[in-house]
Amino acid sequence: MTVSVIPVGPQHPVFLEPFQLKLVVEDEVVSEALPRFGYVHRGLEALVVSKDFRQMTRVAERICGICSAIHGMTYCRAIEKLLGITPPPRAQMLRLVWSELHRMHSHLLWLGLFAEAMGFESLFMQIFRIRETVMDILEQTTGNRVIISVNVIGGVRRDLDAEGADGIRRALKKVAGDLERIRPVLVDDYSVRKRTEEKGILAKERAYELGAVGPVLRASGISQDIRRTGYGAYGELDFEPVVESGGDCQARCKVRYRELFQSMDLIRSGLDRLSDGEIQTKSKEKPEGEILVRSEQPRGEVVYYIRADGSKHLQRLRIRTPTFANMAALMDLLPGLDLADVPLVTLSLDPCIACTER
Amino acid sequence: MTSMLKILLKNGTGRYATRLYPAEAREPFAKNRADLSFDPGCCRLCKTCSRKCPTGAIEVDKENRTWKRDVFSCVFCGDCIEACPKSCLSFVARPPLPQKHHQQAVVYATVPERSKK
Ligand code: SF4
Ligand code: SF4
Repeated sequence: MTVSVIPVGPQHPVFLEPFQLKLVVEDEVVSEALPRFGYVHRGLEALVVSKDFRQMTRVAERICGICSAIHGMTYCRAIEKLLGITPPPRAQMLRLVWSELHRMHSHLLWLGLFAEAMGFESLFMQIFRIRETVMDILEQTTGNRVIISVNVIGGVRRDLDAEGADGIRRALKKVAGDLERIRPVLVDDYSVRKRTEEKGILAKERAYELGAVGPVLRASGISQDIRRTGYGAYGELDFEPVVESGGDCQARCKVRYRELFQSMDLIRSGLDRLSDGEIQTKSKEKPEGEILVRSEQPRGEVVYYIRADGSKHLQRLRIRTPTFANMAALMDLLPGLDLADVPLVTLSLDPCIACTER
Repeated sequence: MTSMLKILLKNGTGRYATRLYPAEAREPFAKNRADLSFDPGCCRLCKTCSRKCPTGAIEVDKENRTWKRDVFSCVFCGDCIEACPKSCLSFVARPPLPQKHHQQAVVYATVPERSKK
């Protein structure tokens, strides 16, 4: 039996971001995997010493392009708690709407890339076509497609008028119809099932032990969602985490697919409950103290730690991203897999390297 | 297999999903943040915008009465717009044309003297 070490990445067609896996392979079967990071480290956390805490909101948004609104919101929530202010209810609900739209476009992006990793190009194009509708709503309501820059400390910057809300409702209806149409392809198609079923199974206990988060954890049958802690406006809405029991690639795909519908429900009820009033609470104070804040990102739980001493610069900002938490699970999944399944299983965890390395 | 085929047939017979750009361009959305306009007439050279800008894209020179913005540094966040006490800044929905040289990508304006009351 020959043992060889194959480096996968940092440039690899399936990994859209630079990260390397060194795979020890024995006759096409992986026996060990070693990850290697550090290719896109930008030192964003260290910027707290040169940018003031309000300017840091813009930096926090740029930690990750795909869930930028949620990073911005989490940062603002942390600072708001330190300042002791609460954003007005309307602002909280708008944050929810935009966060869920971000979750939708992130999940659609992932579904598309997943289809592409399977070699299913036409499905990839179809999903990206659906995603474009969501991107258009974001652009229409906020002015930007990806980094929407709506979160400010104390609330949001852009308001949503009745016409905008109707536009969102109409677009969601279209997205829901389009998604229904691709359901049979994702769930029942013979070749898709051959590629995804029983691949990279993460058992419930193992997922818990390794500290997996987000859709990966929920696909292994554990019902956990940070949104259920009721931060922001999530407390006002009633929803249950989407849970699947398979733990394989198919289950992770189903969780994300169903979460798209959950996000649409949340957006619709959010828009229905949108109260009138202010969208920003102003404060002239400087943050002081220490705080830990958690949010649910499309990939799972993100943790922000902030320490401030009452000056305009923060002392320390530390972020634990969901991809980092899921890496341990990935290293557990890879040994024993066929080499051909490695890209798909890695992608099924939805790794976001730019935000992991910051 | 047939389910994908149905979608593909529908795509093949339906409308195009893309536009033949630039022959057929979509109007930008009204709230688009594509460019930043500056009105030198109302500026008081107070430097608030340049202090608030997270990327340091704006440079205000009080002595020479100039206001400068580096288009490549600007990330269109809108912090300067909110900060300006005189509302001299606003977003423009239509994106600017591409520039050949970096120097051309700096918006440079001389602020006119105001008669003292
Ligand atoms: S929009 Fe933002 S980045 Fe651009 S000049 Fe204004 S404050 Fe600076
Ligand atoms: S643009 Fe506004 S904020 Fe900037 S210097 Fe002029 S008046 Fe001040």
